[in-house]
Amino acid sequence: MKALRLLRWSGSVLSPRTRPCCFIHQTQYRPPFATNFLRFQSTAPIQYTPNIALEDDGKSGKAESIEAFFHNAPTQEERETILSQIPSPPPGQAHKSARLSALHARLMLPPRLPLETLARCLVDPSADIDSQFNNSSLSILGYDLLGLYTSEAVLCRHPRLPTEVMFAAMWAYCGPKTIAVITREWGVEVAAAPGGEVDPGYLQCKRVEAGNSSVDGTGVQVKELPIVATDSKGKPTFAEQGWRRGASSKTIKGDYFGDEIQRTELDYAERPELRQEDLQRKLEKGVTLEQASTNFVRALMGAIYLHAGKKAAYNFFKAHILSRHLDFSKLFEFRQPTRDLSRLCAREGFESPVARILSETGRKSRTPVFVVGVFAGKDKLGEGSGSSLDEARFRAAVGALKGWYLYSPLEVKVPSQAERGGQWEPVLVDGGEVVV
Amino acid sequence: MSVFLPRRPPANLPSLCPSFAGLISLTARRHESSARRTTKRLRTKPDPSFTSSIPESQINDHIVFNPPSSAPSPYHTPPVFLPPNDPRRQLLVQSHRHANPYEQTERRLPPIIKHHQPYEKKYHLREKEIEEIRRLRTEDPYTWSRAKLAVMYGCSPFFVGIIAPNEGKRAEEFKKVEEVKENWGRRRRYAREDRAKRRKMWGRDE
Repeated sequence: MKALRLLRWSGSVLSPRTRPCCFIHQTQYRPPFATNFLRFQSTAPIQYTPNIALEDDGKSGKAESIEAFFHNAPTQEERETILSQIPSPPPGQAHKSARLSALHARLMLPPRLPLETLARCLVDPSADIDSQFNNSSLSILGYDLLGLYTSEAVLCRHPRLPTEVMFAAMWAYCGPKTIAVITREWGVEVAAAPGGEVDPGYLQCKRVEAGNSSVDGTGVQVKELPIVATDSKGKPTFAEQGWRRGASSKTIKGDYFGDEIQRTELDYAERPELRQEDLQRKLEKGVTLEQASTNFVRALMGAIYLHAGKKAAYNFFKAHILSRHLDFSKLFEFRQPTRDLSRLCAREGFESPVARILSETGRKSRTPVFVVGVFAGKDKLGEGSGSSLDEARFRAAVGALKGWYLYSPLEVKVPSQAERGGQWEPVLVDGGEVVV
Repeated sequence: MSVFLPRRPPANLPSLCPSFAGLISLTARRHESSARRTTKRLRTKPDPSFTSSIPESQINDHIVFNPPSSAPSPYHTPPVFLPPNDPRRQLLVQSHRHANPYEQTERRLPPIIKHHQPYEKKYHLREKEIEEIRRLRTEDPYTWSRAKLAVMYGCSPFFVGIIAPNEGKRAEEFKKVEEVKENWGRRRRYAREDRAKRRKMWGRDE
């Protein structure tokens, strides 16, 4: 496979000051006074214009005037005032933050990942709407990377998993709840309110108002207020329309957790103003801690990929996501396992399954125990025990089905491994789950 | 004047039926005379898996592998379920310990729980008979029940339900069952609900 030119591609995603090419031949820690308060897009709301008139035309020509403006700010007081008026800490502040350096060291991030980018990963779009300074572009990349690595890890190691279980496994490995927990484990704390003067080592986001906080001190809780329907919400979800979604709909129309996608890229392409509307709503309403944490971890994944390459990104994924233990056998729920098993045996050409008593004790007592095995011909498929023959038979069928679905090949090479410079080997693809 | 009322009925007290109590105690009591025989009986041989067939000189030089009996792990794929190119297939066939014990001709399979005749689908009903079934069932669903029609036409009641569903009767039957359920007391209702919950737990393997 052809090597991708990451450094060249990443130019469009990273902001000019934090491009990897600027840092390759440079020591990472520079003297603290070499700060550069640069905001290249003048979309950031700067109202502090005592002497210099800033024109809002969004051109890079303004950057120099802003820079000059910062450098000309004579006193500490004035600098602080400027800082407090920009929505997120400027990239130059990253080297002053002990918290950020500690996070970089604690996560053993590759040295090629600059502190400025780590600081940018911590800025949620709800804190700073400017996509040059928030983590939205990086988190889109990280979302796709996490999906790719997790799905191939799950699906190549357990090639027969049913679709629903696959979605549950994806959710368990890299779902928002897990990622929020990971963020807590990393020791990332949330700033009370985002702003330029805040330490860049904090996660910057605007928190959504708590459900039990009172509205203007009236004693009425926020969650008790009637939900005002916003017209820009778009089409109602399947659940709102009272529809149940099947596995095929989830596979084709959903994201990699099987959830419905509210806005697709197609929607944005048709109506580009929707993207700005959504961002604006997020900025007004705020996000939950879970959403902000999810964006941060995804952005960090994307940033590592851009700065340090595929190998470092995969190692990071392995160390923090794949290393978490997940018991796949607990994700199953069967309603009619005996029927499913007999369908499976008919499909695969085994003899039809028969339940046989392997051992029993206390049949006439109050607490009997039966051990039942399911056999196809002379081969035992599964074994289960229970306090009635029916229960034991049911559990034996469940055991047999799990034995089928949880098959794992001995040696697996995931597709991305081949991309990182290995020989590609096809993975097992078989008949799929039992459909009755 | 107070009357003493025993908590247990007098017939249950062992002191009132000495002959029966004596029978019990005879089997359980140990005497000096029976001590030798009892100890001898208790002196059981160890399980063959704990003793080795290797000579006495090397007795301290081997590993005893005798795991306690436990439910099999769902991660152990049964040999039949392994794909044909999996190397474990070959290894299991060669293995002495994990080979299928029922492959030996003298080893009989354990008893079957339910003996039922294998059901062969006949596919013998034509359009005319199906129309007839539908007509009968719409005319009088109570006389012509699914079971009755199934016997008459030699098919399964399930098939009758598919070709001639009767929503009216179905709803009425449901209503009847619901009415019966209305009259249940707390204990019966809870017992049924718990039973359903336990059944769900079987499917989750809990």
